[in-house]
Amino acid sequence: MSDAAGRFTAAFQRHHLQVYAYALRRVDEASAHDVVAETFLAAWRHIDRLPEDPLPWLYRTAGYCVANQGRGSRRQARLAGRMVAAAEVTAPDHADTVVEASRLHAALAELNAADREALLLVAWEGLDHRAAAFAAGCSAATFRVRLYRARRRLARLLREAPSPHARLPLAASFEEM
Amino acid sequence: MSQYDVLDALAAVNPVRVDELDGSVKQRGETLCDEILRQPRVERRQMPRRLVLAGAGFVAAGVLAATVVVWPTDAEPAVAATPPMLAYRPDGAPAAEVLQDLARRAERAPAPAVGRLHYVRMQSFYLDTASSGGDRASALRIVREERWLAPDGSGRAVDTDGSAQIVNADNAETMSAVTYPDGARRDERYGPGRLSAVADLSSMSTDPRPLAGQLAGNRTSFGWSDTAPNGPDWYRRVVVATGIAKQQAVPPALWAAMLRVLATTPGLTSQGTVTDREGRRAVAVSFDSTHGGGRPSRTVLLFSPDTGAFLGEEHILITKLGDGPYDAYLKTRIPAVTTYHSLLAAGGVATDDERLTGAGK
Repeated sequence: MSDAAGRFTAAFQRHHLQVYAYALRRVDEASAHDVVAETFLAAWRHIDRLPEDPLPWLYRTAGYCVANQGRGSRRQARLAGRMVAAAEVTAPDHADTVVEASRLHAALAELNAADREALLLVAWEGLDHRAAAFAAGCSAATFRVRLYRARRRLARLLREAPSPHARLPLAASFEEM
Repeated sequence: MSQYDVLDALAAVNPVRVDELDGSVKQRGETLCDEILRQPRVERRQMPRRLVLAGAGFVAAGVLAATVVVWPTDAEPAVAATPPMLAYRPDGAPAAEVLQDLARRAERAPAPAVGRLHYVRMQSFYLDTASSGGDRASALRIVREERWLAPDGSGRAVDTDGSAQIVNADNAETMSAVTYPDGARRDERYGPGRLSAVADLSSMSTDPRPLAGQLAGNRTSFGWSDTAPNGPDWYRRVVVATGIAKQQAVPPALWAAMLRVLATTPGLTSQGTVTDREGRRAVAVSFDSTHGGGRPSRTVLLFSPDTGAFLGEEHILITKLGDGPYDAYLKTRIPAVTTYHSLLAAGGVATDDERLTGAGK
């Protein structure tokens, strides 16, 4: 196996599931597999430029692929469903947590795409600020600004949410992602 | 709901957890990996160097729409004015010897205050940038940064803006990305693991040889650095050691060993003595690299001549783009200071509202 193939295989084995999870959090299952294939194909084609820690690069590329996927409302509905389902599984108090997840999702959907992605890169992908900044395509200093603002806005939206059932139109709000 | 709760609440409703993915995804991945390896690669070509600076935060600097001069300078109004260069006084001493001497002083320095939390206070300069589509914005910002870091990576961050000026902004969206929404002070608390990774100092050797391996092998980003600890071993050693010193008070014996490791940095140059931005006497060493990504930049490390304590660092762009008097991309004089950190205090404290006083470690 060539050096390039070895590097690629190692990166694939280490990060394939993380990239798939990233995609599946944002698109439906079939599209998520497409995103993974496109992302790693790009990584292979440009293996000479792949950073030593490739995960932020892979997330960034996967983000482009997600943006290029169909923007139908179906996948957004699935995302909403998954968030609620996750709350159902992990929470001791079933009803309260489903309601809370619903409120959270509604508030999240009201953020602009860049702010929302900043939050999710940290909360869901578990990236530190530097890696998240690379994945988001901005400097770490700018990312700190963005994350700070996003946290404040989300907290304010949650405080102001008049009703836990007042869901926002997801397809419209996620369209810019 | 507080800001701290927002991130934790989101994490709790993470819809896809990697450790819960079923085996079929893994199996499908193996097939995919083989298929991709059969595809042709793009051959490496000589590409124009990407215009990103190590630690500077430059993503792009587009058309200069408006410029505000922040610093006292004789620059024309259309030129982005970055902080003035420090006035170094070269003394001809080899850099390695300078650091070895500092290491001996560090060994004799008093131990930093001990406490449950690591407290640091820094004065920093950043050039923040953002881009959206083809539009860009950038801002020069001086920030007083305070951090209370617990062993589990939780803690408190308080940032107070000294001066912040928009250099250029193509539109409102990009400008908002480099502009804090509400005032000059930000006070946030973070849950476990969310403020920063914490270095386990007790596991680090005070023998420079094994310590060098520990530093080079550490891929964690410490000290809120923009710079990833990638690149060759010597570069990672510098980034990790100084990153730790920017967030945790390092015991004298360990800091002395770190200085001895830094003394082996290839291409290290002594800049002599200098008065730093806080008016303190300092000795300076520097190295040039492109390992942070992008155009060649110079990193200057500043130390107390009396105790060897880390006083801060500066990142300087050293090559100019274009034929004009100013950098064609950044619209600034070259060399240009693009980031600096001045460490004002570091040590242990008991609570996250306790502060250490004094301008020194």
